[in-house]
Amino acid sequence: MKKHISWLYSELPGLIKAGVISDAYANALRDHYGDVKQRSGRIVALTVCSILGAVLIGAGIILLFGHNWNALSRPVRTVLALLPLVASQAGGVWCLMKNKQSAAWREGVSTFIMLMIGSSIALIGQTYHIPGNLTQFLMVWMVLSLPLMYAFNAVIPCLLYFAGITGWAGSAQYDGGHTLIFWFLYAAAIPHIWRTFRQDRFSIPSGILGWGLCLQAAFIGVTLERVMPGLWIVVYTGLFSSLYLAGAYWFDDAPSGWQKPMQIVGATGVVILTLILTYEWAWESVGWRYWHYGYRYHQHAVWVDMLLGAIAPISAIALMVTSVRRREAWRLSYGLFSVVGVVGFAIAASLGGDELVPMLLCNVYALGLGIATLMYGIRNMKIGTVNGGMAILAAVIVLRFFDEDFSFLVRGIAFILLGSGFLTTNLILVHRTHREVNA
Amino acid sequence: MIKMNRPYWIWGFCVLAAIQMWVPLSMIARREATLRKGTAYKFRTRPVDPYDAFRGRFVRLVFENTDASTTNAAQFTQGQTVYVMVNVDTNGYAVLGDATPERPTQEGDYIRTRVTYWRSSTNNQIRVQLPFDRFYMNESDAPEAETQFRRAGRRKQRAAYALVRVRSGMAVIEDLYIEDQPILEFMTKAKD
Repeated sequence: MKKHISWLYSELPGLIKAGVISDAYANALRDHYGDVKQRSGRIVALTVCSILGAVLIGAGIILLFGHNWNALSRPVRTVLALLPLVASQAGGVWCLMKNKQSAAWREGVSTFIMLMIGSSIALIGQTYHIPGNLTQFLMVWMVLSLPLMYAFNAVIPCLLYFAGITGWAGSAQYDGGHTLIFWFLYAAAIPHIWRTFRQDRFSIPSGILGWGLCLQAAFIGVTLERVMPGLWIVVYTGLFSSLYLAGAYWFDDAPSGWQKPMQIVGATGVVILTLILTYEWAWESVGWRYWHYGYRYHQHAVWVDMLLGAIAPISAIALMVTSVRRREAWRLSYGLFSVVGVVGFAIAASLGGDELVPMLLCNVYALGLGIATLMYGIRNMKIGTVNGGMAILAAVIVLRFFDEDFSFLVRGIAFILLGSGFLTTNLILVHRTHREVNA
Repeated sequence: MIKMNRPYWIWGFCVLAAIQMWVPLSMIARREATLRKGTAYKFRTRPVDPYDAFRGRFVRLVFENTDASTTNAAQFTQGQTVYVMVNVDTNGYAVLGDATPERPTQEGDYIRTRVTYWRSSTNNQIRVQLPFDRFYMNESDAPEAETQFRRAGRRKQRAAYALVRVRSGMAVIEDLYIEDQPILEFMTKAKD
């Protein structure tokens, strides 16, 4: 939209000069559309270059230190470890003193400081032969870097922070610890995210942050204590449904597809997880009968899993209600995944050892999801959605064919039929679209 | 940036920068004090060669004896912090002494460390993770050092050990030795 308004504004002087429109008319147009923030390609390119520069220099310094010069004495190496950090901080002070508001400065300087904090700690560890403890290293690095996103109103340090705390959670779980602190670390970044989205939901920083957060959500499983096997199914089905529905609720009016990360990640997550859950092995040894004990499983941290297992489906159901109220019932096909997850888990856990029922339930749901997506696409003449629906149907059918011992002949015929279905539907849709355009 | 008085904001960032500096500086200060004032112990080692992409190449040190004696092994749990006394055997190498959950009050050096996964309650011994398990080297030197070290270990008659400084619970590796020569010196002679 901004692109079109910018084009219109650039045309106005020419139109006035040619006498096509009057000055008053041009001003009325400007009043109507308001100010357009000029976000020229040059500014975006400058910001990207600044971030890339910071990342490359930072990575280069880390690699140089990784080389470990034996020729240098310990004090020299220590000074060299701290020098880049001091330089990056001096850059930060200069940036603040000169009140540099451009994204290129803010993002570049803050990213560089963050990388230098990590490299300094790593090099000190190398100089003094400190035992490798990734969990502790990531924790110290992330805590020291957290204020940077606030100080510079920057997006990249926020993304690195989320990647870092997720890495910390994975490492802590691997070491046999628990990840309760993860949620405090997560909460510490929320005000920054809130501020960015409140400024402009569809700005470039909000878009980047949105993608980062949604992709990070897909890795939320590393924080689970996994004491109750299979609870992840309830968490993830609810999470992906909620992501899709929340995206549809708050970001449906986004001017372009890339500004809808919640819908895209949510829908993709629903489809992929549905296909995984159509297998029997996904439902094996699920539920409270298989409760885990031992030093790697912290019983006091289970409540977080339970809380997530409750919040995810409840929020999905609440969002489904809002979808119905807004007369967008077709979205329920994706929201229902959370209910399928809860019901499937309850059945698998209650029956104990019988995975057939939840597996069949997911196969039926996958077929229903494919048909619903296909129907919605046909009704609204969206070729992409139609193909998406057909892809889901084809995936379910193909997966089941690989499961069973069907002959090559049967498989071959089925594949030809599926391919023909794809082509025919696309041809019909293209034909109908042309007819409507010409009419 | 957050809208507030800019000078205050700059001072705030300076405080943050000071905290960010303080972490590596405190790491340096504590280890330098140990290296300068700590007592030197020889820990007999057996090396392997892993690769740590982020920290460059290093030699992983596996120590022959990491068992410590206790009065009651059952009182310890995996991952618990323990204080282990360091003694010297008749050959001049370091051996681990008694382990206690509290900081020892008696005379002598001790290491602050953690109980590892294995525990034997039969002879009241616990296995601990020594807080020095790697020696960083130049990326081309590390694999060669490991080869030299492994040869030395196989021949048995050559002593291989890590010289570690110990002070107030902290232990810092000073150097790696083969036949009483620092590893780099030994490698240079081996090349010649």
